[in-house]
Amino acid sequence: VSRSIPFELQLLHPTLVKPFYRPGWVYEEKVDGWRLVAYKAGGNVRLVSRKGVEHTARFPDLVKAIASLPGTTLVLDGEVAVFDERLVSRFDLLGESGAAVPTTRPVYIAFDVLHARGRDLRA
Amino acid sequence: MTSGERRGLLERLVEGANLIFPVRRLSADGHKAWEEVLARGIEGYVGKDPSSTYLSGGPTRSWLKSKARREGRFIVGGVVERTEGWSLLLGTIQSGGLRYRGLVHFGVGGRLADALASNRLVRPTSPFSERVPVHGVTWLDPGLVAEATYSDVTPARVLRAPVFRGFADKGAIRLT
Repeated sequence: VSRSIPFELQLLHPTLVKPFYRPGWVYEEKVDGWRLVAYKAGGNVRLVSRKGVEHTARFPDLVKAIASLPGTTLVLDGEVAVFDERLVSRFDLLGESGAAVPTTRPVYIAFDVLHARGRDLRA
Repeated sequence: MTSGERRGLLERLVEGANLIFPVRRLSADGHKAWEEVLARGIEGYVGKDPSSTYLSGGPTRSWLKSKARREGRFIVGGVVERTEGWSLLLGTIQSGGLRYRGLVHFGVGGRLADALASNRLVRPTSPFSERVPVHGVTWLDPGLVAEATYSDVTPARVLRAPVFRGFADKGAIRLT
């Protein structure tokens, strides 16, 4: 897949600060999940960690869902997460099945799109 | 493309998709957004400059995060099995003794007990300097360090809503 998406991906990492307000900025929920980049080239999908380790096989349902997104090439930055009954993301419950605490299935929370329709969107 | 333009495209791309969602936006007023974080009990927020690009890579000041939850490292003094799975008893060294700081959910399955037994950490008596309000504990020598986040501490210094993040020494426990 990476052969058809021609860039070395260096993920952005936010800087930790005290709560703040900057006019014109936007504020997004911080998801307590697992940051994985989703690469799609045709029907071929990969989920890769920030250290470059592939975890595609762990999330077959997400792979299917990403494969059916529009466009032939796509790179999404986001997190795989599960949410509890209060709709709070729970890192500690990710990857558990049969736990007594009810959660959603793993979902992909996308916060950026870096490549689409053959274009590098980062610049 | 700017961050704001990419967000617009992202929303169109994942609209109606199964299992894929754009990250939730909070109030455009940072103070109100922070109130939402606290009221909902979520981990924090990430503020972004919508006019920024993604070019630099690595640490950036165009994305700033604030966390409602604190982080710490704790000595694991024991483990206990409950219907919802295994939990770790956490402590910190204070005045030369191991002070109890709370119970954190670890996970399900019997692998933890086997792993701990084979690591020869199990001991017959509590390593904590005070009585711990938990029954059925498998006590451990204080050799294993867990990383956890928590929302706050009680007056007795016990962690509120702790979440296990991992062991400080990644090779300390082999679960497979």
